[in-house]
Amino acid sequence: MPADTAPARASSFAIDVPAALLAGARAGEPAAFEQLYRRFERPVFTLALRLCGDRDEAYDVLQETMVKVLSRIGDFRGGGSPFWGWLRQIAVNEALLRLRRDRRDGDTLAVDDEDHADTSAAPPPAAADAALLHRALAQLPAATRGVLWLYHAEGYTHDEIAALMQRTASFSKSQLARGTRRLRGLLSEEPTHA
Amino acid sequence: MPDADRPFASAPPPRDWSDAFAALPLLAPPEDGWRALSARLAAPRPRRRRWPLPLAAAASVLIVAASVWQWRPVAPPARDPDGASRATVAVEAASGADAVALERMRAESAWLETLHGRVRDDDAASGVSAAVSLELEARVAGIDAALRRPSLSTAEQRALWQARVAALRDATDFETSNRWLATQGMRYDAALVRVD
Repeated sequence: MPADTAPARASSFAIDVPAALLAGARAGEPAAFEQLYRRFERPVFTLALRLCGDRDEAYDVLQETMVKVLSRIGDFRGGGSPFWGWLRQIAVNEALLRLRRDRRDGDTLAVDDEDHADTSAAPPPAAADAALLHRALAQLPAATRGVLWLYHAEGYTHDEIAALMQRTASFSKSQLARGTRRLRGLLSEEPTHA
Repeated sequence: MPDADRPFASAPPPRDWSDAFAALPLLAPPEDGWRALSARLAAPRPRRRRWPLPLAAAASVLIVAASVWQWRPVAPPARDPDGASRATVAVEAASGADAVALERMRAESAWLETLHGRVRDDDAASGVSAAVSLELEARVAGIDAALRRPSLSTAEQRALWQARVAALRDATDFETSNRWLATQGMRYDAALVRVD
């Protein structure tokens, strides 16, 4: 049975932003805008590419996300939540909105009886090869890949993924199990070089 | 030189999938990203034409009235059963009524969607109202996802289209109220806490 959350790892978005930089951005300073963009361009682009599966789309998501972040930065109040969490939420929403708009949010792996197989088993050695893992991820359907990425890389819970994708927690769990199994299969097909 | 571009030959296998994903390098977007973004940010936003207050008030009333009027019951088109058996006529009438009802809801849904796009004013939106607006749009997106499920029964389709129309009507009413508040120099957040 999959755990409700992945083992805790720092998200690539977890970047501290100095208060002075935020204040500069709120005041509309172009230099502060650019610094924020430079700090977050790679995490946003990477997340968008993992969810959408296409560089052009990922670039559009990056642009739209940053326009929203920088034009609405006055709405960010913090209140104990880090700036990066607010920004990541906008990026995830933007990428998922694009999947829905392109009618790709239904691209999933079919459900079967083994969908509650254990997903916590160690990945095959080929998962240590970034190029192989990248290629295997690209072969998964968009929504399945999105569930895997949000769960394993960003640490979202199944309930959170369900809310973000407008599905159920069961959907998230079954796609995680199915997608992890497919990923394991794809990586196991790769010749080992060790 | 297999090890240069195949790091897993020497790297220890990841303990779990989170480890494996975390080890993937961050990807770089195209170089011109900041330049394109700063150009967009620097461009003056097109100002929407502000309606004079009496005109805005009249428009709001008209929009709500039109929404209600559009929802009025419409009789299905008359059918001519000449030459058909009674049973066939009954089945056709039932499926015809379903088709007419579905078509009517689709038409109203499309009309409300257009109307919603016209009354929505991001310039008048506050943080809270933008969040409410996004929530309402997410509701519609959820219904759209359900409508794409294969082999929906007619009853399920009707229920979903009814829900879609209701959600769009809520969203349109909300945007209309927002616009109305904006014409009076008020914001949705402030209206929420007013007690007079």
